[in-house]
Amino acid sequence: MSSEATSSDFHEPFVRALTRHERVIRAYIRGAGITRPEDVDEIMQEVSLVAWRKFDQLDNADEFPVWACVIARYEILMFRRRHARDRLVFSEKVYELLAEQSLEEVSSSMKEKRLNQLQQCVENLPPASRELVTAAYQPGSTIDKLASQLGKKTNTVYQQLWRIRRALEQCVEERLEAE
Amino acid sequence: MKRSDLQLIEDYLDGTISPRDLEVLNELLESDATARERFLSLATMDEGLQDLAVTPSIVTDCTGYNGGVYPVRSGSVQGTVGGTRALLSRPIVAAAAGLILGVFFTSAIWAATETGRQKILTLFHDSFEFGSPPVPVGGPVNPDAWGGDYVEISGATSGIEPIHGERMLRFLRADYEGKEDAVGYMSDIYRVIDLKKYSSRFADGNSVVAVEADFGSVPLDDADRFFANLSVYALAQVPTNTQSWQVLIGTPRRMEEVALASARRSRGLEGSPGMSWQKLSLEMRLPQETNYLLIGLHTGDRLAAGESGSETPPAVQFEGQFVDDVKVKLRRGI
Repeated sequence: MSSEATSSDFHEPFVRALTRHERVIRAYIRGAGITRPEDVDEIMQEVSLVAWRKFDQLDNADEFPVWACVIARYEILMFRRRHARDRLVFSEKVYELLAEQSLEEVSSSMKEKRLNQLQQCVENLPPASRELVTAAYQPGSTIDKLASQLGKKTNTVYQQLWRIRRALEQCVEERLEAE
Repeated sequence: MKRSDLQLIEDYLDGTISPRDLEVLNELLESDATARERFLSLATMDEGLQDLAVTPSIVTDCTGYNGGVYPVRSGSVQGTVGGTRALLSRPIVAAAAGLILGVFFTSAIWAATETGRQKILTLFHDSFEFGSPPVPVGGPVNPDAWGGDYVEISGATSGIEPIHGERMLRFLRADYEGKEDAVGYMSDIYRVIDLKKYSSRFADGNSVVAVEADFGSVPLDDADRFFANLSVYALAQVPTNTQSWQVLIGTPRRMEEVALASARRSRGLEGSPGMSWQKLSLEMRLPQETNYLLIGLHTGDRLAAGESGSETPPAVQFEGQFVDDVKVKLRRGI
């Protein structure tokens, strides 16, 4: 952003674009092999900040998600370098392949479609399954803790979640094919 | 896909994969585009499920915002574990709220940024692109502006480019407007960050504040002449007027007595051709009683300090020393 005068012209469109596409950008970061939620948060913050600084360089708002994911690709690379010794991450080659393939999914809106269909699929789950999977993805939740709260064995909960995830995968694929 | 291959992907996404299995998964993903597709699909599903688990409350929390397209969630997917979600649970929504409240400039967005998931909270980020100009009154009297000695917001100059954006802060002099004795070899500029709204985040005394800034200098014949300093003080209270600030900052012993905790780091500024920005960073455990952080950015002239012997030299005028990209983050201690 080049001046204070222009910042106010840009801030609403920027927030609107970021609000709308944040989950796609986060999915891109995760698809590049960053799995720890706090790591995704850290990268997302950097991406958001760089995107804000450069937002006046974006000509077409429709290109925001791809543009932001290109920024994310660089930030992920920096993150990988910073944490090369303390994280188990994919090889450089695999990272590049995933980052490229993932960007194509963003470009074709496939990631957004997947996320939208997933929401529908979660809502269509039986209530007990829906509550279990949502509980499992709460911040700080672990299968051990969940099993303890539910009075079940860890492996039982793990298997239930495995089945729910497979059902959700299938549901998403079917809905995408039907689109 | 074989269940064992799927298991490898699930283990990676769970963060439970072993180094040995990671090698196997690397080979699989490198050679098999279908496996990559499956990995991406599952990674997207993971992100989507986390998103659904943390966001149900956001729309009703942002009633003031009428221009954006929020990802509306059904209340029915809210989880039963983890209790009530924090208001403004997603960063961008918090950022949007920051804008609505009219506190817009870069750092304000990120001051409002937090999620239920993250362990790092960026309290403040300023690369001097926006906001009130610094005030040369000896201290940060205006809580929305840097205050201290004479400095200015500068664009690229003397071959130095801002590290981010188009602006940076340039140190000018080692004194401030109306200073009784215009002496000193250090130029200091301060900013106060109000932590009261974050107090629950460090109430257990197990949080650490991390401060970083990039310092730079024009090339000089004596490459070791200038040095940079970064400081942070945890305070329960801050002065309410200019004179009290000047006394507090001008009396190091008083500052040490008043501060609940403090940290300082220094390094030489390599003012040589082709120099790059030099990052200074420090961390400090945050006492539970902290209400404010005082962030200090400083540069000093070793030559002036050395030549003056035991006398404080006349206030130094600086020859091209800069700082940019100041970040303050709060994170859980290890």
